[in-house]
Amino acid sequence: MNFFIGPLRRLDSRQVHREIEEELQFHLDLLTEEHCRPDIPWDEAQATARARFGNVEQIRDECARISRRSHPVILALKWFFGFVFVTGVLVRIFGTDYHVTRIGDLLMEVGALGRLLLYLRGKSPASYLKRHDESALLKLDVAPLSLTTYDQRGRTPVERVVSSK
Amino acid sequence: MQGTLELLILKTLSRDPMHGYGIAQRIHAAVDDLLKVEDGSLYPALYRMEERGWIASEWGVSDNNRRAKFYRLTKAGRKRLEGERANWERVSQAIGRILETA
Repeated sequence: MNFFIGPLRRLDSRQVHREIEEELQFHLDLLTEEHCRPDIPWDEAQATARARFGNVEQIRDECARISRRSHPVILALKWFFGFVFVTGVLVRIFGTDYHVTRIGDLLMEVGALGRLLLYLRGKSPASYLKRHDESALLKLDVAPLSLTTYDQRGRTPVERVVSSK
Repeated sequence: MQGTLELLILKTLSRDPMHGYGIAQRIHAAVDDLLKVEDGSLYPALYRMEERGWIASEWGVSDNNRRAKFYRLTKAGRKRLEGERANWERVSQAIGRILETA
């Protein structure tokens, strides 16, 4: 069943991005819990977890780029352009008439150009970050409200509220 | 070294399906600070391996009742693991011989 659902799931790029974020968030949350101790504030544990995890944004982009490369439509287009190119080569070899060989040339050009464009598309960086500003991962920088949470100046939430007034 | 992380992941998944965090934990426990593996670097490797058909993924529920993506080894992955393992042994043997003689 997963054989059919997997590729279908990948058709929706937003769903793919959501799943990447959910997966990375799951890992970061467990890492944070692992580093959380009664004497260690939550944001410090979170910072340690992030340091151990690596560059979240870069990893998320890389995963999105790989997912996009293996998108079912992209795979189908790769096969299609490959088929067009091979057909062009065969027409070019076995075609005897001048016009037929010209069609072969044209097919080869279309196939090669299509594959090149798909290759270049796969190389370009993922741009979904701009569209998903509401992502859960971006909220990681906002420490959860807790009495044990200190900010960079060592103030408790109550002290922060008092000083802001 | 190139392919090392893939080999570690393949070996880890050869026992049972696991989520990314579980794989990282298992690797950290096995290498015991002898090898520095950044947790995040696992994910691009996992996605690449899934793209190549060595592993497959499925969403499930983790021990802490949260939705998690579980990875399992495919038949192609098992074959790859055998190949990578043989290759690794060959390379380490060769390097070992050079170190002994040089």
